[in-house]
Amino acid sequence: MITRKMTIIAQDPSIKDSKGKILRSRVDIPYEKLGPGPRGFRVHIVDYDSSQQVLYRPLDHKHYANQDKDPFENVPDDKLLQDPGFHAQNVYAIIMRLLSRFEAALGRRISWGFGFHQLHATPHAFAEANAYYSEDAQGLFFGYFPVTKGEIVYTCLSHDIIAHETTHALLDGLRDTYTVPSGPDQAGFHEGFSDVVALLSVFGLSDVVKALLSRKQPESNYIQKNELQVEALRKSVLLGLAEQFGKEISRHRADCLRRAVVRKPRIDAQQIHDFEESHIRGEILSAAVLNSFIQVWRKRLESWLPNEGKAVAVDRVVEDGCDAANHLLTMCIRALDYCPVVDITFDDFLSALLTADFELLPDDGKYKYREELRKEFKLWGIEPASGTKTQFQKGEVPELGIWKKPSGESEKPLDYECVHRESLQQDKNEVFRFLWENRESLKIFENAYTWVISLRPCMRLAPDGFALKETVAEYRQTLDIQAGQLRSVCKDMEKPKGMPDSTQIRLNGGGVLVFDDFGHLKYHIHSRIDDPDRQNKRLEYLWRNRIIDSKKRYGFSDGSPEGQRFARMHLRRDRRIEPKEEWEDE
Amino acid sequence: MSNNKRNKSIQQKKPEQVKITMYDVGFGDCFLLTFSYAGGEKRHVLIDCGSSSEKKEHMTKVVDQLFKDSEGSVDAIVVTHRHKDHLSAFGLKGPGEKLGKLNPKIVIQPWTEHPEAKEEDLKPPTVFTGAVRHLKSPSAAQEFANYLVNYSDKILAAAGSRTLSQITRLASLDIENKEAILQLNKMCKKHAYVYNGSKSGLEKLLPGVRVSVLGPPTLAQTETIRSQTQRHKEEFWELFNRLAAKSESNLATAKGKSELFPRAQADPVAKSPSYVKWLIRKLDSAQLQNVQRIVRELDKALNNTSIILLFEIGDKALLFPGDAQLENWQYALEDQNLQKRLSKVEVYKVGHHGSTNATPRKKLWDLFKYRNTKKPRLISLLSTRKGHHSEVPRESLVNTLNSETELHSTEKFGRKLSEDYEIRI
Repeated sequence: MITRKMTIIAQDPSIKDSKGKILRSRVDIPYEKLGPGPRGFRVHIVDYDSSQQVLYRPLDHKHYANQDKDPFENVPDDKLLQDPGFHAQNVYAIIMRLLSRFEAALGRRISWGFGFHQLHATPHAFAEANAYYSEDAQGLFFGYFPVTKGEIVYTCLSHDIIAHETTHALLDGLRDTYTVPSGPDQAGFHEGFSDVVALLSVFGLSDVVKALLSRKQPESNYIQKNELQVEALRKSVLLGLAEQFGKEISRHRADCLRRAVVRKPRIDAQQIHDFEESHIRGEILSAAVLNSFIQVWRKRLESWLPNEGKAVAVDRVVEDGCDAANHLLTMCIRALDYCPVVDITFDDFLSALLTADFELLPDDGKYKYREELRKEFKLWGIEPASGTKTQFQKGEVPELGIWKKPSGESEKPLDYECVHRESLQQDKNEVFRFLWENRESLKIFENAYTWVISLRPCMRLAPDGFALKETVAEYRQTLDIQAGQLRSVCKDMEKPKGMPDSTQIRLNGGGVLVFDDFGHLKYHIHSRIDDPDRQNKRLEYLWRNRIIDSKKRYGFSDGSPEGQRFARMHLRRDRRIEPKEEWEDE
Repeated sequence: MSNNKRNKSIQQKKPEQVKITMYDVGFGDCFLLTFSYAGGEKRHVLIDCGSSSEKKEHMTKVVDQLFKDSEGSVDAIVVTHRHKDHLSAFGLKGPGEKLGKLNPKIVIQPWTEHPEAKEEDLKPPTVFTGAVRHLKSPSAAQEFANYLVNYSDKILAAAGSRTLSQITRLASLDIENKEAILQLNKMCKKHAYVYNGSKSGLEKLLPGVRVSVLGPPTLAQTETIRSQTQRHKEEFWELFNRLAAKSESNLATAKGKSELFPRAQADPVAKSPSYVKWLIRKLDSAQLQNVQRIVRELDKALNNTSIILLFEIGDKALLFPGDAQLENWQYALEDQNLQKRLSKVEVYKVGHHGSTNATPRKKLWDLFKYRNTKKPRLISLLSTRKGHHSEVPRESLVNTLNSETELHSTEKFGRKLSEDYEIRI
């Protein structure tokens, strides 16, 4: 792939290099013929400020006429900060970089959740300390706000904030069902996953990791060995970043990172009421993944750290850290293809993570990423949704935590006679035919509205050089009924205590079908719509927290105005759980 | 009998009867509490006198009636918080002056109104200097509201008429009410600025009555309100700085010119391609949502400076919470002893005109033991007007008040100006 280099601010303007200048990075972006904005085939920067009602003139595309030209490479710091054109480039480059990172990990193109090709991004959207993804406006909005002495802080200059918001948009494209009201884990997943991706992609920038490690001796090329213990790394790298975040621009982000890192793991976390709030819930996910990252990094270091001497070359340490962050980031992104279509739990995500990695690396390798993940998640009481110990012992799964093969689900063999292998990789109707013919074997509830929502052929490259070809199809099921009719779906389904029989409810279900190169079903990650356990828990949660839409129905939407779901989610971030003391009109 | 002697004799007594007069002020509050002692001695306490829905003519009638009911003098005036619907009458020419003649011995306000609560003063932990962190300063907040009311059509160009009127109506509750505050300051020399656990200022004036201040909490007392302040620091004040600090003439030239990047070139929106215009419309409407949210938060923050008063006479209890919302209540409701005392409430002035979160459902409402009983039965007093504040009063709350208590609502007054409710002790 042809690329071009673009200058970005490596973290945010408050993080300086050893010479006291803003730490920058020159990143590779897929080459494309850019229009004014920049405006490319996936991202369009429109710099409109709604608080001042100013539309900035778009950055001239002539800047990019030459593939090798990076218009801001040698511009001094103060000019960089004062140039809205650079702000526009910074946002464009970071979004594109993350998009290509996702596409590389998944081995295919990714669509945005709103169905069009170009995502809008607005670097100076309003005077407010907020930044969010709006599916309604098909874009990312970044706010700015003045602090002391007239200094302005721009959220569009924070790598972490841009990456976090872009991840919301990417995740919405891959699983738009994750904004449908579900349980506490799903509510926390959007935030937690976006945090994980943003942070791991920050740790993937070697300049940032080096700056964090060398804070004590910025000029030195060496680092003391005692600064490379697990605790020391947690402190210098994870908390170090939180400390840097603390400088106005990313205070929200600092708080969540700090909380995720210092929070003591609790095996009963998921049963505790405080952990039900979506942001706190999300922090569990960040904590588990980030701590795995530190553990793996330490393992990598142990493989070469010499016994003698006190100091080692910092570049080598940084390289290992970046590799570990990159590998984990790839795992997290790939895991999305193995996540359930609806009602994701952290247990599901762990199984998805392990399966995604296992498919490419049947052996957990030298550094045991999967083992570390299992360990760190377990500290929070998160066990893989599949691949339990008994399943492993019985030989149903090849490794602890991997999704089961579909043959285990039913005694009836699957019927492939009805479908054409090639069509199965291209045509949603063909996938539906497969579902329909095999509805009994796959235990699909017939009396629900069922449709195939996506079909994605993909090719992933394993470290051994071989390509893994898979086709991932998702289907969804919905059933709109009244609370009083729940038992007609399944006798064990119960409405929450106190819910009137006439309450309108939407039940969700569906599955992910992963086909191999030969059109055979490898995995069926099934969320049965008639699963009483999952549905009862979900309804109880929605009822208890009164998560209803504008028509007072449960399970349809959370009632946020169009395009404001993520705006509100972020503003709630620092709030405590509001006790349910209010009077609701039925 | 000389005044002194009379005072001495009454100090040893407790009232035999309390009469509560609720006045119909539309969307607002106005209550007169009359405590009657043996021998015919009476003490009057006025709690709030304001309206956001009624005009001066109506308020003049209310004040005239109030003047008669109190025989031209009150012992104390409580202004629960700075909202228009609780103090507007004090600022009106005519009614305001008449109220001034009531000659109160003390005016009681929440601690956030203390004149020494300075905006720049950031030093905790004294209660008064903490005001800045509670709300930065009520007067600055109101300046913003004032600005919104006067220039909403300019700064919110994208708003439809319905949204605009919603925003201005809410913001108009918050405007400064300068005249009213001035009049209150003039009325008498003695002022009490109260907070959770402080003296009420009514101790000597109401013998035999235990008056407890349950709210507002101070910053040192609650983290909940502190987090609300954080929100203001982060967004409200930033927006305030950007929008409200601009003068009117500035605004006219602001369009098309950036204060952030004065040297940057801007393009006219009208000439931009349609897909850019589409996004601009979306952004303008997002900005509007932000302003709406901020105005709602401002309104809520001022409500949460409300005084909450609990009057106890023997085993009878009367609760007057002003417009206190959940965050204000939370600190007080942690106290288990207080929970027991609250369970005995026989008269409840329904908080915030019957809004969704001013009568905490589990933590407060469930405590009242005279709900659903025959004798005594909880009396609830609701001063409100439908359609004036979004979803106030809350239907489900009104239904519950109707079925579980003896509900009196100003909405049912018809042509009556006021109603009396007597409680025998």
